[in-house]
Amino acid sequence: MHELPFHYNTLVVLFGTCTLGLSSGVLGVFLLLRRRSLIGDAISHGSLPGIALAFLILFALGMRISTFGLLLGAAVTCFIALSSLQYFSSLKILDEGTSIAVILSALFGFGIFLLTIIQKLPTSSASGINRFLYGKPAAMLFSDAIVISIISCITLTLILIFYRPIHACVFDSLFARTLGYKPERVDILLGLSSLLMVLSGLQATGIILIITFLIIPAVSAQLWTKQLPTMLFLSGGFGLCSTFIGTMLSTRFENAPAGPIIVLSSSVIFVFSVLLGKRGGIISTSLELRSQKKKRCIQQLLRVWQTSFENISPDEEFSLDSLSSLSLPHAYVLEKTGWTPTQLYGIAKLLRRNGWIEIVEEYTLTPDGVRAALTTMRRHELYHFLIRNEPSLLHTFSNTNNMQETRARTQLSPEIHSLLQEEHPILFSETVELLMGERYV
Amino acid sequence: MIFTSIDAWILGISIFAAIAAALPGGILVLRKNALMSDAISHAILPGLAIAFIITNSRNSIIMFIGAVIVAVLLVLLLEYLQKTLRTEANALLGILFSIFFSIGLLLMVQGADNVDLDPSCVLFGALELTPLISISIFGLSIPPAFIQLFVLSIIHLVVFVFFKKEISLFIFDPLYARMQGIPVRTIRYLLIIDIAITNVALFEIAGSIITIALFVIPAATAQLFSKNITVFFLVTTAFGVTAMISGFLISIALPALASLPNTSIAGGAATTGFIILLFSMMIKSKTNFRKPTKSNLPA
Repeated sequence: MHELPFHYNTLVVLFGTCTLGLSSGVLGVFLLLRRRSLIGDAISHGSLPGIALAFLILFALGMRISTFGLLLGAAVTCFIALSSLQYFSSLKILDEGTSIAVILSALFGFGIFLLTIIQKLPTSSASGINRFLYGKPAAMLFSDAIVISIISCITLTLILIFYRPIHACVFDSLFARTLGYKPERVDILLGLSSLLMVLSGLQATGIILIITFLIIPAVSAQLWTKQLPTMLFLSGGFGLCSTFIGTMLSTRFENAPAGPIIVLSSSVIFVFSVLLGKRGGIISTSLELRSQKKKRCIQQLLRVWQTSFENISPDEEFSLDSLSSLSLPHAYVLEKTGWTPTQLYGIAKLLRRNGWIEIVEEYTLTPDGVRAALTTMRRHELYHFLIRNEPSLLHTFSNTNNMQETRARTQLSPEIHSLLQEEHPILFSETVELLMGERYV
Repeated sequence: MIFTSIDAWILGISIFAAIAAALPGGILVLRKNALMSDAISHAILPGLAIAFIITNSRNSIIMFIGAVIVAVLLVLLLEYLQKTLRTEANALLGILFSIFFSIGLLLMVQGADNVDLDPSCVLFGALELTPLISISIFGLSIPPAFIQLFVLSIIHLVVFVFFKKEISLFIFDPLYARMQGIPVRTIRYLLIIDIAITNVALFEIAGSIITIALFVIPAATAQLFSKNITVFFLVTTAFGVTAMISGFLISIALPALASLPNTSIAGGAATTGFIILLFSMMIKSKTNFRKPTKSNLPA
């Protein structure tokens, strides 16, 4: 039946799961930022007793076991899970993690309790429930897929309509309160939307693994950008791609449970983002650390000229010519910096590539290099001046390596400004030039 | 109903299950780290599956080793990622355990062609069936599940009696504990290993998710009523045993009275434990708002 990759039924199922992936990716970002990613876990495990109860009721009434009826039951107990989570957190007796663990395991336990009864009933249709445990998108009907995509679209629209309050509450709930938004209502909205997402995703990945729809795309997107709109787009895209690939694969491997396959295909995106993500991925972080270290080394090398100049002629006024006429022997630089020869060679090569030094037997600064060295020096002096006169800045300095960023963050007080102008006129003029965006090391 | 020797074994196993789960569960709840039991109980699945595929038997020792290795791997990975990625810890935990669980499930399906280890037993667990397998020791035929849980309970008891000070410092003030020369990091990993081992022992009777209930629910209830660590662990054990016995009653004794088939004991225990917790919380939230009397006014 599945010779063609795009069988009609497959196409419908794909459409359903992809809209689900898209909207749960978007919702997941808000849950992640609100630090409530795992409420989906409590809600999804809470669906099992509902499904089992609905099954028992339908069986007792002698009615057909329909997906819709089972999902209705699931909705009721999911809602119970969500509201008991809210109740627990309002009492503030248990912490969030404990209440999630308690609720998910207790409701799931009750579900298993009922499910064991169902398995002993004289009926063969109990296997209909197993697909809710591990997921089986191939078994979805046309109507199921349509319902899923409608629910997903409704959730997405809700989130987009209430974008502003959600946005405000997610980042700063106290501030949001001053704007007149109600963080509790936003929490309820997010909880209800994740309930809808869980309900519609139950058939695709099953109860236990549905939480990955809500978390994996969001965390992956967070590793690429810190801008909320971009993050939403990326997360939605990741969700869409991973459910698409996962559903396709799961229709290929009919024997294996679909939930794990979908999870593993979305975990490929996760692993990829963990390694390469621009904002905090492992590789990019280590590259950034290395480039910062390189910058520091360059500054250290340039400062060797300053210190040696001060040592040779402490009284002389500092000038461009005096710096450029100063050539330093290799051994001297090695001793001053305390580097190994290979390290020095690497940094010196960088400087030569910038056109800042010339290496003929000894190290000599070019005119460009002199300017760079001066900038570094002034910056150093400025740091010291500022820290001496305004110690509170020390924290800001130690947290950033970027002068412009520091400047943007700290408004120098007028007194410091005039003090600087009086005591160090050269430093002041150069500082202003420096801070106005001249290129520096 | 007639109380058979099988029922006696079931009751014994469930009581010792509650006792064995009390120490690790209590520590996790007091450290506000209850989700770790969630993560480990999901994540040990690939360890069990690989151990099973390699040895092709349900030899417990290999399974314990597999579970311990995977649990430690999970925690190491979690710590590394948390340090480098700087994202929310719970979200990372969720991602990691679902990936581990998925791998375990697929491995299990792969290895399940000729096997009595099928995916649905991952979730269910069958306490009612454990007494059916038994090994004979000193001429007595004892179910292996009982021996495992009994030994674990004794070990936990001994550890608690001898290391009570270390455990309470580890829970309430790890920083001070480190200053006192207590190896906090080692204790943390020992705790992880212990949770993994207890989890494997409970796996057979409760399945992967109800195990969390056995760990967390009694401790969460006891937390409401105790101010002293020894009392806390005693109350935890008491609540666990109560939940287990009432679970036994509603899932075996009650249906047997109406001549219905029995159901999952662990599921019943989780349910009754949750109900007890709900009532305790209601009582507690009322008493919290009691007007200050002379005795509880601050001096």
